[in-house]
Amino acid sequence: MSDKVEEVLRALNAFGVSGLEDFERWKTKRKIGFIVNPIAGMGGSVGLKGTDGKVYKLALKLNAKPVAPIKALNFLNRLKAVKGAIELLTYPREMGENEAKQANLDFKVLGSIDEETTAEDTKRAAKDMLEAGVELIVFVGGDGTARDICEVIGDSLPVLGVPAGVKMHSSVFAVNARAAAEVVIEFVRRALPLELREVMDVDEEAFRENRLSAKLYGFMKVPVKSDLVQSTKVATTEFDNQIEIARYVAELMEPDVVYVIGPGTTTKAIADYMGFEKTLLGVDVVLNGKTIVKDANEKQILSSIKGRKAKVIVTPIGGQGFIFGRGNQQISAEVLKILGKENIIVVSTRKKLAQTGFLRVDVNEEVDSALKGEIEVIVGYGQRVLVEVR
Amino acid sequence: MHAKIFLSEDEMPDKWYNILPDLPKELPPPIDPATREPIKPEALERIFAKELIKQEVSQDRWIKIPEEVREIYSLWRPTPLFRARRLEKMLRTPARIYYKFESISPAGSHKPNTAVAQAYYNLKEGIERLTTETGAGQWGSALAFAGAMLGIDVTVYMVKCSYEQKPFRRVLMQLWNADVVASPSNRTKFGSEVLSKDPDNPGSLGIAISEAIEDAVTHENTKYTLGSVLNHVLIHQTIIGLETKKQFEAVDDYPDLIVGCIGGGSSFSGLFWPFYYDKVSGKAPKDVEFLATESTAAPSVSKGIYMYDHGDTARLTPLLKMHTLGHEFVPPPIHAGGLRYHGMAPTLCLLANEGIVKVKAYNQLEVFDAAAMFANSEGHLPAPEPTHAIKAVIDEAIRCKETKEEKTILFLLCGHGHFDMKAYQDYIEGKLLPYEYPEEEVKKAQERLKELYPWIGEL
Repeated sequence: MSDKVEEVLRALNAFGVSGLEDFERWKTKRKIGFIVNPIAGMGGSVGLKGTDGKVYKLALKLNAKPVAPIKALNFLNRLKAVKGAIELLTYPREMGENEAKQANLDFKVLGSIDEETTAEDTKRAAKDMLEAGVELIVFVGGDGTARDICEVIGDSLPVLGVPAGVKMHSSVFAVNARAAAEVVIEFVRRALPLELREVMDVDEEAFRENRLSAKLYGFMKVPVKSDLVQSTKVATTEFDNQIEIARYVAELMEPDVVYVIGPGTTTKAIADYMGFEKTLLGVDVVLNGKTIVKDANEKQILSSIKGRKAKVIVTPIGGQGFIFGRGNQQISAEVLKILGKENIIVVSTRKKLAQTGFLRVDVNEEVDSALKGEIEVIVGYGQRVLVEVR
Repeated sequence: MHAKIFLSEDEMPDKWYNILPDLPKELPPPIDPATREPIKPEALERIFAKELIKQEVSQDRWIKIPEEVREIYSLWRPTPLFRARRLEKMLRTPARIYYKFESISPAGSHKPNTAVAQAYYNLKEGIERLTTETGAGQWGSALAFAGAMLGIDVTVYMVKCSYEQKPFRRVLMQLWNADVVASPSNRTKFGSEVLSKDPDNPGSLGIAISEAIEDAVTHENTKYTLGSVLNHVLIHQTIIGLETKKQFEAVDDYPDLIVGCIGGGSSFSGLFWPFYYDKVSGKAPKDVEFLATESTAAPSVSKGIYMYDHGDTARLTPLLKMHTLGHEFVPPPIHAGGLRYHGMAPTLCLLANEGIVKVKAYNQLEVFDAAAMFANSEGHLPAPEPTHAIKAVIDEAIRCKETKEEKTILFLLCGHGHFDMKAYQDYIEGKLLPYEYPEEEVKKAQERLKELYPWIGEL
């Protein structure tokens, strides 16, 4: 029967009628590559700007917890809806096998790895998957992982990132693990539009000089389902109304209140205006107009706000709208639970806000749902607007 | 000062027009990539009525419309030709705007013109049941109507998400006694296979086509039908243009410009082919231009390249010379679903490539603006597909105002929008996005095709 239908579809195709593609799509199991960078994201909660190379050891020393395995499992659990239609091709143990086993999906393990995984393992995994004929590679990691995969794959195969890193400037990531699963399910069900998206990473040299400059490393082909895959993060370079915002925030700041101030040029402008020190990429703690902890990690933030009246000042990431969970993971779920929504001050230039029109959070389910709804954003001197948090 | 030009039922044309003998070039044959030999239409015999396959490749210029078909046509045909005086006034244009009105068919569009003919030929060959697929239900309801009129059973595989979210066309089909099945279904082996792998699959046109074909090839006295793209479908639609020509004669006018929208190409071909015949046979009183409109979300003819395209990702299927954006191109969702069809009448591709038919693409925001203007002057609510033609007409009429040209413009209002209120709601609420397709991506896709088939240029 199947042959007859296929024959007819082929003939129809020759007369300009499509339909064969969908038929082929369901004939065999779809092969999807799955790579987990097990150490991605660990640096974030301890105030490190990434978990690349030697930083990993430091992160371990600071008692950082692995993030990627949780995000990986969360992603795979949601793929169960199309369990019968897919076969995962993955790498051993913590590079994907563990989670594939836990999620009870069909999978095959390629290659081998040593005790400690490195960037080379990610590259080899991508190469093996490409050769094994996968249709799509899904990776769990951050900008560094994206760079490694891009080096091998380029734009020869669709790639999608599940965000688990500290730095996520690349536009190859789904908004979160759940959205990534939705994109993959759509990819299995019907063809999704593919877009060439930027692979970016923070320019190490500029970074050391405390300048935020994301460097473009290449492009990958990303399946896009509107508003589930984030677009490029734009570093805010315009000073348009940052000064107005700073003037207004300065008036609002109260004595004897601890201010936890997130990264970004808009929050930096507040520091510059008021004359206290502030790092561009880090979270700083300020009390009575003085910086008490520079580039604080989660632990330092927690001890600074303990038993005191405290507020947090953050600005969304350009082009994405994230106010928590991206680039400021030090302001953790625990910190936010202590502070509460009423002590969050969001500032944004109008231009940056207009890029998304809404805000996002990606901390954990509890915090995310507590912050959902509308939040006030300061967009100028004495000017506040209500913006939806998704 | 009449708003409508009518024909009596006796004036309804008794022949359809077939463009094949009048094409400027022979149609390039569909090629089998394995043998590089042309594919023969006999391959289609398993699923289509013999007479329809004959029409598919017929070189006869005129094909008689059976009396029984004309009788059913007379339930709504001839359709009126409107002079859009209120729109002209609103635009303050010296141009004369006419529109042929296919919305008044019982199914609400031009589709019954071919549905009735196809059902008739199948019935005549002893077929008892027809299968087909439908997305939002436009074509399915046309075939259900034809089945009800001729007493032939109809099974429609309707894309599941439409079946659930847009129930009204489904109800209309059921009222006309069609068996409407949410696809993927357990009726077919293929549908069951999809459901076993993905129980919540929302369906797709391709899955529904596969199910409808499987149903036809696995059951006695059952055939499959298609609502666009194929030549016999286009032939049946020429009743539109043939009537329009007579209506223009009645008011002693003739179009300078003919505009329609293209998805598979059947409605626009039905309108312009008879005028094309006038042109090539030297019977046209003046030079007439043909303009096809499509969506910027799927600009396959305006932005695509006319070349042999492989039919699927497996790269084994026959090759057909058509306009293509490459098979990696997937259009984003837009409300004019009929314009997203990945497939186009080969004759239209050829005529566009020869420059005989011009093609323009519009985004869905600007076409709904045009639709609102039309609804507020002429009153009628267009389906999302013909709003693309309306946009082109309004632009041209405004241009005529500047140049003071008294041009005669004709367009096809191929269906009403009463089942598309969600699209209009989104428009009113400002939710529509003006999708454009990046040209760079198209070029890349073409290059990949050339890598795959280095011999493409030789054909």
